Amino acid sequence: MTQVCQAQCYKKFMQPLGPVRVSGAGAYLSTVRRGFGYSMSERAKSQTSRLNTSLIILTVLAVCAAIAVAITKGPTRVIEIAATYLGLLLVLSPKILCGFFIAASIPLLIPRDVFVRWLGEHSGHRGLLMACLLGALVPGGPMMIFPLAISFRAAGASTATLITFVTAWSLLSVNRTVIWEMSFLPWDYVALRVLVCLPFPFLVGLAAKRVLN
Amino acid sequence: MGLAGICWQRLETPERQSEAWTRMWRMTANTAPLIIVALISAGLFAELLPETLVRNYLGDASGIWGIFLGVLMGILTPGGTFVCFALAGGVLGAGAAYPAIVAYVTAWSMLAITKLLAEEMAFLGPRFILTRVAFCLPVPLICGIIAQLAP
Repeated sequence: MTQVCQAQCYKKFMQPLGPVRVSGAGAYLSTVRRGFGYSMSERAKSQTSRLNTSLIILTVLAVCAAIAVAITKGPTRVIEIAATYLGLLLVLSPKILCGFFIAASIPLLIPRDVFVRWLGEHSGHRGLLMACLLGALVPGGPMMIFPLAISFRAAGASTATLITFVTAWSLLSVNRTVIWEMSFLPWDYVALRVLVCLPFPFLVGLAAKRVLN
Repeated sequence: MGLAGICWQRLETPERQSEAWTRMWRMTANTAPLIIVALISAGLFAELLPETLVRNYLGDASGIWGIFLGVLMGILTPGGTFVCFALAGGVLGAGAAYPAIVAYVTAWSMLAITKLLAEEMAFLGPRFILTRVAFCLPVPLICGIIAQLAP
């Protein structure tokens, strides 16, 4: 039974990629903008409304923080901070664009049904393990990981897998542990932390799966 | 960047490359306002949450109380990787116990408030954050306690 399933999986995986089935975050947003409906138009709508809510919440938070800083440190400090971080944005923009490019090309490279099979609602423990591995191995900071997570979601990954992915990245990112943590902290501490944290992305994902279903 | 290059190569045909290219620009156009607001608010939060807090409170923390403090400080620590690990190294040198630092680093990497409210909010939205935080909140505490119990 499992062998048959694997063979099918392999067959699907080796099929040439069809552009029609494939869709990603960008595609969703574009359908909304152009105003024509795929079968996904419902999800597309929720995606734009989600973006708008995020923008509203972020703006409110930013304004509150700006007022707090202005009161405690003076209004010029607010402008200084804004200028510094906009400069940072310019410095980071090539990296961010690369992250976006990767996130945009993943739905083109991997057909949707493969994605759903490996990371979707019914992917089971294997899906969670895949998400753990991806989270630990994909290099990059939040500006890389979160766009990637969006493209995974658009391609059909379930919320539990996404939670596992983000948690695995935050706890076990190989890149960050080796480059940063090892250089500031003693190796026996790093070993202790990694060992302690190792099962948690999977466990959190499992809990999320149980509760959310 | 290397990964982006690999993706570019794997797309193979020019049509699909340009398709990915236009999708990237669409994504950029859609998220640009969010990213700008997110980065600025990250800077403002960092200003409001001073690093000295961590040095003062976590320096000689130990036991269960130390773990609690570690979690709290981890959530409140602003900024990037450099800040967190440099601070952790500093307080470890100042005499903090390993379990407290484990709790601190774990809490920072999973739940740091600047990352949550700025970047994750910008991309994944409030509902996802709430769900994830609900499941992740106990983890740093458990990690700290396990580290405490480990020989």
